[in-house]
Amino acid sequence: MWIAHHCLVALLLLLCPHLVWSGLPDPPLGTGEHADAWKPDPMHEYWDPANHHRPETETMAGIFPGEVCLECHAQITPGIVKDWRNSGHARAQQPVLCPACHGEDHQKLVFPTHQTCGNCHPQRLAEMEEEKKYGFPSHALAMERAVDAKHFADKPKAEVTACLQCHSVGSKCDSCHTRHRFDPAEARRPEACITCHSGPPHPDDDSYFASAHGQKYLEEGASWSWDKPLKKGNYPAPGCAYCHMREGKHQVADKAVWKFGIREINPRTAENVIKRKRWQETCADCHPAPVALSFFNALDAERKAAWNLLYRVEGLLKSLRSQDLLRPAASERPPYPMDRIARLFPRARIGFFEGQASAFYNVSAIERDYFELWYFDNLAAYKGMAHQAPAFQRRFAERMHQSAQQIENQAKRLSATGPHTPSNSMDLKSIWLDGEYTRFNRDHN
Amino acid sequence: MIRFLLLLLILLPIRPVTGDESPECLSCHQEKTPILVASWKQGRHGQAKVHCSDCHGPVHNGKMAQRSRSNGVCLPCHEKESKSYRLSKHGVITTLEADRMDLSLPLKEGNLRAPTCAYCHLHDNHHAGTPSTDRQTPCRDCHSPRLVTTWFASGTENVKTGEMKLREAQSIVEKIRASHPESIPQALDLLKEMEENHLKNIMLGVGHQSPDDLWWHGQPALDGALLRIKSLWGPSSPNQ
Repeated sequence: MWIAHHCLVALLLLLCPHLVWSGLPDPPLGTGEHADAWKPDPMHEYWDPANHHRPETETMAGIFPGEVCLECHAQITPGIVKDWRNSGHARAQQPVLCPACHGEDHQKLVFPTHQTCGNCHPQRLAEMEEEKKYGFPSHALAMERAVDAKHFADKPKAEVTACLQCHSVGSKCDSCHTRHRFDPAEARRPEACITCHSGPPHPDDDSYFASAHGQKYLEEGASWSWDKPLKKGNYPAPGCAYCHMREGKHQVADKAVWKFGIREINPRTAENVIKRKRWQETCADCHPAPVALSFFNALDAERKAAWNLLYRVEGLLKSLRSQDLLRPAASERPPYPMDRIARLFPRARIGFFEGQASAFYNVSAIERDYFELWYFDNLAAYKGMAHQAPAFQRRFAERMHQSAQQIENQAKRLSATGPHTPSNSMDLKSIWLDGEYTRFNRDHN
Repeated sequence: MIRFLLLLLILLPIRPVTGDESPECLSCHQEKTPILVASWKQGRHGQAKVHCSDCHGPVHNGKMAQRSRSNGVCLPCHEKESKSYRLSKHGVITTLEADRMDLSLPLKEGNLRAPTCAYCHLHDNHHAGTPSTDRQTPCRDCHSPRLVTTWFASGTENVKTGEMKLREAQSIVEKIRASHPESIPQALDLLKEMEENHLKNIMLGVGHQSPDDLWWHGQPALDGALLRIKSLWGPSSPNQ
């Protein structure tokens, strides 16, 4: 009996050593496909409250009705109280007070999510949920896809908080309906989108503002009545939401044919034909059918040309890889993020299908050049074409040609240098596998 | 004549001020608002001879404070900084509500729906710029202390990772100097980009809560420059 008891204790300690030893690292508390590989940054609780909100630990405790919240917070955070007082929530016959969204218990305060808002706005929530059946890109799946990205899991979490700030549109509603006013009129304006829909891979702001639609908006938009629903005849030119969230439907994915331009698609699949019909109906608010159709054809032709160029360059890079001409070689650089097999069988990732979207760091300069050609210039050219900003599209198409030419020249130089031989081999590992940030990145997920 | 004198009397308070106008303002304001003047002198604007009228306008018309609270007065000198702000939620709201914001109210207590430049940087009349010890104060007019503290801590860590990339690049540039001196001009250009653009964009992105600068023009841009510097060191250097 005595021995059995000791054996049991020993087994317990073996299985659960943290019962007696607190020196073990905290377990990772991530979410998604690589949940066991990363630990969230403290800001994560604000971007994805449903999964990461921490309970209140401040000294304020008690159960408070809304009037008391307002009285106190008018002193502590007066800005949000003033903002709320100007909101539809405050002006409603039955005002929607703080506890309706945050709860009454100050030690168990809730950060509102889509579900919270959906309690009173079920139709909007349902529309948003419906996006999920169309996959990504969509607002509804934005947070899930962000944390599933291999480079997100791999990088130090403070470094990638900005990803979450935009992808939080998949977790909560205030990306577009800023708190605590939650004004639909604000969300209808194109500027409501540009905090996230800007920058090299998705210059939706610059391409839209460069288009005829955007130019008209810039000239007159401030005087339009933004309280009106996004319906035919209400606006002289469309903003982002007018087309992408037609008639105010909280659904941006049901017309997504080219999906950000990140890979080539077949616009003639049954699904895409249905989506194109939806676009045609949208454009028909102002344009006759042939105009919309010729626009789709022009867009598809532009994409075809862009992908011909991208495939040519992608093929060139793959050929360099097969000739062992990429430096550092895959074995001389940190492994592809979150890929255990790659540690044993290292391989350079080239193109969309090999996951190059997560291989924009720790790669050779020529691979990065291709990444920028594909992910920045190509996607910008696509946005220019899709938003009907021809000069904008041409600018980035020219950059694609220049970049392709530079990559081809560089490939010739690499071929002339030849593959690794004992005579020209240098210790690249010390450069690529060591270094202050590289070490930090390796040790901090 | 009497008419002319009356007209002069009316126009007197809105006389245009020209040339090196600060001394003229200061002669009165050193007595009327001495703390404000002393604070301006201490701050960067005072040191750099940014005069009162540069922000408040040359006309003493009772709307001088109001004028200086709008973003338009900051833009001519701070164009680069303004991009990250313009794209931030604060900047977007300020753009959309420009006509509805009451800029006659003091820059405190969440009097504006979203902060203009001056609301945070010259909060509550700090003419030397909001002191570094008070950086979180303007945010707390609207955001919970916990959010603000967390944001600042996370932002600091974010900048630190950027600085690590810069230091790693600097150490490689030293190796290049020894083994590939012909690549040094290119390496130094990349290093300069990292320091003066990409890293600064991260700081602006953190300060303005602007994800585009913080991410695309910040961290991945640093990654790109770092790997290009690394690629200059080795047998297949692009310059060879």
